[in-house]
Amino acid sequence: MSILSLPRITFSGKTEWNPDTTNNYDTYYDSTTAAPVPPNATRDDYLGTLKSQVTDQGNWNLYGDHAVRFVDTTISSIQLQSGTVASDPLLGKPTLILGLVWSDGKNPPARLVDVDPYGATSSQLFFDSFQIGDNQVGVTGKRVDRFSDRDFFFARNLNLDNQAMIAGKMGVVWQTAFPKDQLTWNGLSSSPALAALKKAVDASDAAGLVIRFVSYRTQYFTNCKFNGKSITTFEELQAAYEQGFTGRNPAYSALLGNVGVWNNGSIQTGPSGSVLNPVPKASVPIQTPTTPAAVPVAIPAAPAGSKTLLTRQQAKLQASAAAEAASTPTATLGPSQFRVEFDATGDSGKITLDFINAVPEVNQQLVKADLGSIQLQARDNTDTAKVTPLGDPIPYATYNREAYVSTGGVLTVPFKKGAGALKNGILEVTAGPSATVLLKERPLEVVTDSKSIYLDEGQTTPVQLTVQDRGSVTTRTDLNISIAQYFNGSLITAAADASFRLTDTGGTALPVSTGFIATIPVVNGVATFQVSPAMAGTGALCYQVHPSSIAAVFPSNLQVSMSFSNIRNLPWDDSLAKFDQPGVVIPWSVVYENVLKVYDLVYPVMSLVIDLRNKQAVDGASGQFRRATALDIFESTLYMPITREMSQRKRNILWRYLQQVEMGGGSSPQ
Amino acid sequence: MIRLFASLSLATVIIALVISGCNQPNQKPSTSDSSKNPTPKKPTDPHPPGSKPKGDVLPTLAEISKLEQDSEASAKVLGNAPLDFGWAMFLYTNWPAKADERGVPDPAKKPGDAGPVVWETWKNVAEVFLEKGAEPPDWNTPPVVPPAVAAITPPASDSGPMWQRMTESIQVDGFPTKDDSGETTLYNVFQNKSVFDYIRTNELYNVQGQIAVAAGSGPIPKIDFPWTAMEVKASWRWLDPEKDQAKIARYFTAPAYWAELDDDGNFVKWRTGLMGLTGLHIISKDLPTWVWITFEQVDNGTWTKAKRTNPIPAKVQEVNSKMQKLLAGTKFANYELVGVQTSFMSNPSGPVDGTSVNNSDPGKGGSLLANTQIESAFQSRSSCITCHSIASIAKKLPENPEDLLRKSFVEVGVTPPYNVGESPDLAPFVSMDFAWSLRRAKSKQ
Repeated sequence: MSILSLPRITFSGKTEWNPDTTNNYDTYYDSTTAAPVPPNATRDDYLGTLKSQVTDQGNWNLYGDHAVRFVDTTISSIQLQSGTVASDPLLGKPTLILGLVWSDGKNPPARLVDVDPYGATSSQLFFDSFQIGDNQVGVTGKRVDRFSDRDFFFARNLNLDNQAMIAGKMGVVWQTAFPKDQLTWNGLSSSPALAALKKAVDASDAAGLVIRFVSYRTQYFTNCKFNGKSITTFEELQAAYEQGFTGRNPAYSALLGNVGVWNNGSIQTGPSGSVLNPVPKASVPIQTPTTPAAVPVAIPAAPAGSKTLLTRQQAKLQASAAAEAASTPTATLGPSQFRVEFDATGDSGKITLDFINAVPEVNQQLVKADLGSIQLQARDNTDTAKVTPLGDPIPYATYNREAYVSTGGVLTVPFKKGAGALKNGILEVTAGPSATVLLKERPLEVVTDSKSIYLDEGQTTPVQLTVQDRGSVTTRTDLNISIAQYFNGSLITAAADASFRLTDTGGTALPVSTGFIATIPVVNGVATFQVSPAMAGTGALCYQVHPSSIAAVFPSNLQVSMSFSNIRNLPWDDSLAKFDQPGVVIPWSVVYENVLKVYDLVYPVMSLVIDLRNKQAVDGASGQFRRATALDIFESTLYMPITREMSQRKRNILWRYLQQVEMGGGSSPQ
Repeated sequence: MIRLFASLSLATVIIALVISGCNQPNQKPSTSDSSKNPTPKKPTDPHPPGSKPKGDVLPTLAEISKLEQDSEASAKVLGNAPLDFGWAMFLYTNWPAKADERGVPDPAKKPGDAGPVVWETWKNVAEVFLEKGAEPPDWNTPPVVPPAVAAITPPASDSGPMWQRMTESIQVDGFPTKDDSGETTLYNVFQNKSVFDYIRTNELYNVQGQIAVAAGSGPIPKIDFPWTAMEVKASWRWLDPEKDQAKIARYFTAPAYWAELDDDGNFVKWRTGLMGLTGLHIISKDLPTWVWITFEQVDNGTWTKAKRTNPIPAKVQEVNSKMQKLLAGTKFANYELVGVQTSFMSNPSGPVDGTSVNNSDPGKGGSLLANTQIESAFQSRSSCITCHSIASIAKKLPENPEDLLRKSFVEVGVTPPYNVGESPDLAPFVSMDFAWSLRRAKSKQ
């Protein structure tokens, strides 16, 4: 069982994102040293610069706190083995992603954190619990691991009428899982649907619950006010900041998600079935654009050299707007998965398609692109020209907006013949007048829960890779996994440029072949290695599984369709070693300049809560600083810094300083 | 003589019981170590004891004092009428003090009369925990006011001309709170003679002295304050003598000074002015786990930024209403009891007579008590007794960065992250008998 099996609960609504955006810019923030740029800037000068360049840089949320909340998100459909549930107390109940916070407040938020602050494909959601339903009827999962992102679909939001201030065209899937012993069930007797889910979770082959959701059509400037007036443009935002605005400017995504059974042996964050990858550059015409082209909204110019998501998207918007004006709009399908069940006899079976992030929307109203009928087919492994249709064509009515929400994006396609062809081939998804192949199965997939890693100087951490063959752990014995290093998205081909040191579990360096590619064998479907930092900075390890007789070839630039881990090597801070000694008195200036200043400047919302520039304020919260920065709560939303770039050396400096405060007499809790 | 809480028949009986108990021999507290610190918390009242209370009038100083002269009787009152006990402590600590003796109520005065009140003449912790852990001078040594402050004519106040030193601007959760003028609320903490003498005698005024006790090498086997111990923590707001006349008419006021520091912690200047009392914690070791009482000025909801999360229970409001009528004409009629906390856990069958706590945590059943001015941002998980039960000290000085001097009172699994309910395990730290005020001690080095 999995998301692609029943029972399955679907929830829909919106996600509110309130990240600080200044660290997206290498002109403002150095992710290698985790320091403001320039490092010697004063707070007033730094913030003054940020505020004066909002329009130029597209820096849209100077006072973001990385909060993530579900808004108006409720359980919208329930599907059991017996069919779709028409009535159940669980329907319409809220779904919440919750964190822990340091003061009173309802529905404390989760936190969005990028491993690579400059990148767009390394996000995680730190949270503490996930609530489906409420205290009367529902289930709450206590976090074991954070949500990780996957299945990036950069052409999800077409915005053909240019009526939405789109933050990014991308749709992205988030997933995590909860073991049985971390689940609290309420109201089982009143909800047959919940009872059915519980029964499935209690089965011996189940590990717990898996939850995943997709975020798409992310919009700016929908809930930002200053002095009672809505802020709807960058110009208004810059003016507001310059007049003292320190409030929120959150973005909002549409959201659709599923709750299903987590299988024993499955990783927490990986796909539930076999992977369907988009075919590069393949697209088909949108048959009936629902909304005629309207007068385009003004799209701000993309500043040269900017690395922010916004400005990249602005550039894409400009490019796509120009392209769309000149031609018929086209669309493709996003990364998907499927699960196949062959009937015991005959050539028939059933394919369950995970299309939660597959079909793009054309406009702000979330109308699905009409690609015409979508056809599944099997392509023979040997005779690649031979294709066998599987099942009837999937009409638009089956994947339009209404169907998408009611099915949770999961489609079932029965087929009467073709089982043999599929067993000997791969699945493809086609559409358009020329039966263009938009998605192609990749039977072997490397999956890992070590998708987001932070490494301190000298630290080593194990990484386990699992090879799935059509969604199940492979039993093949002829496979290797090759590992390539990428830095700033570019392939590293020489040891001198390496960001990471890779060793086997015994600590012996992994052998590398030409092009600096490391290779490890797959044993019982698993390959394990260790990684440690070779230098400070952020990079990625990309994985390819292949027969041991074949050498892997990696592209020169990181592709989001690849399997990879994002790794941030934290600053090494050798210059601070002299302070990290017993008995050395650590002046406040050392703590501020080297540990706290980056948060004071780059994440100024922090100083609105506790003024990090002020010694008295920091000393007064010494107990909280001490506890918040302890690594044993790294996974909690209480952990500080939220952005998780504090190195152990800096932590030591902060802690030694706080010890001095304690020894000098802290404030009394009486 | 007049009667304490005349409208509460149970309280009347208790007062009578206490009064009669006071006439018995061997009435010294059984839970204290007062033989080493023979300091009465309250002086013997010159008024003749034993009069029967009658009428809806305020209790006399004699009656209040007697309530606290027998620990067993006191505990009995607490068990049966904790709200009465809370108000009694408020009246006692806010009784006008004698001019020539620190911490002694003036029997010739009554509540609301001009001059510093009893707790204002106790030891400000700034007088107890000195730089480099030095020994503080004895009880009767007057507080030292900085010359620059002393040279200023104090503003007219209820407390008279005695300058009060403010010692904190940040609450225990690390956050400040503000009044309706945008000014940060300030705080100070005072200890009565019983606490002060215990600290001074046992060298608990510095970190090394506390560690010595924890490690078993100190002059006492463990930190265990006498039952006569009391402390208060007060919260204050700045008041403009010209613009804030309406507020001044409703706050208990005092001249105050505060060290203004720059961002780097360097002294800039003394700020002086008139301040109004917004909140008052009173703690007393009438029970082994202490008694936790808190009062607030009734206009806090309007005149400060902090809003109440947990409503004051109806029974507490009932008692407040009666007491406020009895205090009519004094500034103290503008103060209300928020609650009295005497146990870690709420009564599972509901509040007992008098409501010993002001709320309960439905999840864990732990008792709660919060002052909007002192625990502004974590009222939903504020339990004085639980947090103070964590007051502790290590058995040796920290060496490595990860070493803690005291157990953290931050509980990371809940939100806000503070303990409610039974006390957590302190090991390897050693208890400081609920006295977080000892955390102000400095190292001798």
